[in-house]
Amino acid sequence: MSDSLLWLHPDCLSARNPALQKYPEQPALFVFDEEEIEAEAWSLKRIQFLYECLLEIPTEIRRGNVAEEIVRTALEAGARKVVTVESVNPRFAVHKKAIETRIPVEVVPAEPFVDFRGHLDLKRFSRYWKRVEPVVFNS
Amino acid sequence: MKREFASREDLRTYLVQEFPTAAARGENCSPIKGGQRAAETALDKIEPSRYGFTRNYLDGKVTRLSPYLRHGVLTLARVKDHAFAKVNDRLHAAKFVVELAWRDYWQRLYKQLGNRIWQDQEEPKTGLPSAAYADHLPEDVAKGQTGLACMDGFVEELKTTGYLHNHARMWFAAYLVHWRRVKWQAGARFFLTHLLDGDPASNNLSWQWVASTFAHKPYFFNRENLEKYTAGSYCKKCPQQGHCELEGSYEALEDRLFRIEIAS
Repeated sequence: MSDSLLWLHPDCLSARNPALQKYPEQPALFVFDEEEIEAEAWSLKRIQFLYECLLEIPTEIRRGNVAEEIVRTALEAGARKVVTVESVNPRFAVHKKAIETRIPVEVVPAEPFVDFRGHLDLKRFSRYWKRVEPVVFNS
Repeated sequence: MKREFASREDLRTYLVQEFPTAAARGENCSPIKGGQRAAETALDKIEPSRYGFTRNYLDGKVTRLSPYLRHGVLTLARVKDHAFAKVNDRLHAAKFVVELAWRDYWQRLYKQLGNRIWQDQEEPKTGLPSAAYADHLPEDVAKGQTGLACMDGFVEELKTTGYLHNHARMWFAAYLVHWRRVKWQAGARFFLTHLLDGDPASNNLSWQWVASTFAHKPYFFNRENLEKYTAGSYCKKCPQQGHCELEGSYEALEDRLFRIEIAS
């Protein structure tokens, strides 16, 4: 019986990802999101690239409906929670919401590019970079 | 799904069976291999200072790390630290690190925008109404049969490798949106089908930057610029030599492509 199920997604395909680092003994599952593959009309080479990443990570691989597969696997394993790495992809939020109706989800923060705390104006890159550049080069 | 394969070809054959609709859109695999080991090899090869002054050339010292960054195999922070460790003065890695920052910037915007990333962020600055742009990718473009050696070459490379040099992406996007007058979304979708680093954040917002729906002015180029940064490799063999539609001064092309009113 596992305490947690690690939910891997296309933004965290490294064995060094922070969820696997935090819970190295817990089982992991990646589900190819068939809806996303069709919505973005992926060609096979994109799937092969992800698959090759997954083959270097200790994880089970499936395809289908992400939330359904994650929930079913977690409940069958008797897990108390699902653990994953944060992502800005809106599909991630949709899956997370669906999973959370059945089982709690812990989201581990991804390693930030820059440790910047405060408001960033994203209207143009130049405005963002004016604030971020000194932190990047001086830290 | 299976985890044991004798070879990349063995894996590809398996995936053709498992994902037949994706295979129908292109069933080849890329020469760029996925995984941590391949990512580490690519990371070891980066030359941040040479990147700075050769990056616009198609044979420049670009890193091809984007598929690994896109999927979190490498993090921006790790690549940045690696780049700084390779130079005596951090400023020598500046241009490379700025490109990493662009990815961070696009990700932050994607977090704000969500699916609105598919909508124009601003009015286009081309002076043309939105009805002037076609919804779908023309068939000759999709098939790489425009007759322009450069554009057809980019399409072939995109489909074969799942990768394009950034400058080639910009030229292709400008050609499609400004010369062919096709909506940027059609081009963005075409790229997402094939690019190993395909990510609506960097992809769509870069297309919008070219289209001028996320920039002060449209990005365009001329044949001379493309010839310079490709060492003439496409122009030399182009059937359109002598009557290339990409030919012209920037002023003449601006007049031909756009309807920009100069404020008096």
